[in-house]
Amino acid sequence: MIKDITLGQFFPGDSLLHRADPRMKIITALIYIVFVFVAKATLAYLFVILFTLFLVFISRLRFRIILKALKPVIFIMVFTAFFNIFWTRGEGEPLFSYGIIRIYKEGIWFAVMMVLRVACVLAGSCVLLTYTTSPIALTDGLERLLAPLKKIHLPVHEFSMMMTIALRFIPTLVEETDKIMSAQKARGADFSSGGIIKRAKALLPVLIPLFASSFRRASELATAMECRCYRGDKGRTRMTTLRYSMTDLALLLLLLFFGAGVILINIFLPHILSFGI
Amino acid sequence: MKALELIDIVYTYSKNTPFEKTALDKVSVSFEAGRINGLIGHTGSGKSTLVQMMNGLLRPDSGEVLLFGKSIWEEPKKIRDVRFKVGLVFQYPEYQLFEETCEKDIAFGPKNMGLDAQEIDRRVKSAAQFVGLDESLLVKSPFELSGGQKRRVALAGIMAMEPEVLILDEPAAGLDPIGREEIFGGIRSYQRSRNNTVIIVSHSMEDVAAYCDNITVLSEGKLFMSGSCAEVFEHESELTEMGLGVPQITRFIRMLRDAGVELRRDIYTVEDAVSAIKEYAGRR
Repeated sequence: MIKDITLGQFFPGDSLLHRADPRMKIITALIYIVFVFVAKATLAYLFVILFTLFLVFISRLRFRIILKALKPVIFIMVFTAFFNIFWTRGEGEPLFSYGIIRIYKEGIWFAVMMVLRVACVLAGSCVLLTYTTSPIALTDGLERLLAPLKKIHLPVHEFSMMMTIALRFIPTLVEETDKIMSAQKARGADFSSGGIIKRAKALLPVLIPLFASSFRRASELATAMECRCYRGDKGRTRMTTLRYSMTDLALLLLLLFFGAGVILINIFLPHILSFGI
Repeated sequence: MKALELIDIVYTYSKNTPFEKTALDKVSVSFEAGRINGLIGHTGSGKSTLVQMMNGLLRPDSGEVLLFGKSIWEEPKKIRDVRFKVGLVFQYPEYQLFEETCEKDIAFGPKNMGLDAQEIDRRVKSAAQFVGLDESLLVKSPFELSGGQKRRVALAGIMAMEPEVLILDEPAAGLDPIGREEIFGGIRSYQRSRNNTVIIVSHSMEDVAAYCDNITVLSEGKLFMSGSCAEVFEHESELTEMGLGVPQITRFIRMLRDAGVELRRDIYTVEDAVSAIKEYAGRR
């Protein structure tokens, strides 16, 4: 069912990660992603995986939920793995060869590494950001972080308001899609059989009502915002102001430790467990 | 005979997530064939979930759904045929309209059934008649119509499939009193002419009392009671406690009886009340 998509969904909780300031979480998520890609040595990879599992652990989210987040990108992972396996030319004898197909151990190695890397980046950023931060806090944090750009007349506030609204309406639209699909199924619509063209055509009875209701919602929302005197950024104050706390310092130190760990392993222990590659 | 029987239905939303919620907890209900059955309950009582079980849009975690004594999940691949036999009109069905003309939209269901053009045309015309849609409106785009008219088009779209069981989830929600009466009147005349089974989901006791033969009351995912109007409205205090109550006019008659006016107990509509009071006045 459509509702099963969990990428970018907030799971309320009370862990260290849930309590941290969204600005700090955005910063640490960036640090995290950078260092996942910096990792080169095998041991560094292991360290990345362990650290990611540690993040999952302190987020107190169920492991199943994280696996579910990976489901939509399985195709991308398989695709990268496929190219790495078949296109990498290594030194020495291929492990397997048939016609033009040659598979080297380096290829398999890179494929495994790439898949793990994609999985870690996704799981880590979900845990640090989207799963533990409410969408509102997230865009609020982003707006604060980008606030200096207002000086050069970038519409940061408007941008973040647009994002807040878009995020706010994702679940609504998903629910609406579900409802319309059920309604059309009740009239005998068939979304799951036939070729790709037939299936695309079968979606028309869902898309048209969905568009119609999106426009209706947008205009209702605009009216409601005007009724509450929304006039953009100027003179707008906030109900809650963000403040950094010790939690945020701890989180920052944790991620700096992670970064330092990756670099140190890359430099000092590059060959452990590398199977001669 | 029972048209639909649901036995020990259990259903949980968002299983294995923090949002897990049991919508139905061992609910067993049945609906008499050839009658108008009312299904009543509060927001969140599980009515809408229950009706989606009846045409196989949702599959219960456990329990059985029997249509005329036969399990609808016997052959999961043929569940579409069940949906043609059990027509379900969702809440606010006007938001599902999509075709260029009302006529085409009403024909969507029958077309999916694989009927020939002549039969489709006949069904569209007759369904439009039941819901009181003027034939001049059939060639218009559904997006040009008023809310009430759109509702009728959507209703006709299900009626045109000529299902053996017709389920309507809050068919009159958001309509004015005249619109309500017209919609319910149309449903009643449709049921009388075809003598099939109708299930009306509502939270208005007045509507259910006026149009239904039997009533089933759901409360917090469980069956609360089920029976004829008279049987169910006997339990006025319990229903009031649940926040559903009995029809205003029934309460009014009860108050009159408490004050010593000798009237029948089983009065659920204003028309009945008027004639009973007139008769009482004549007696004195």
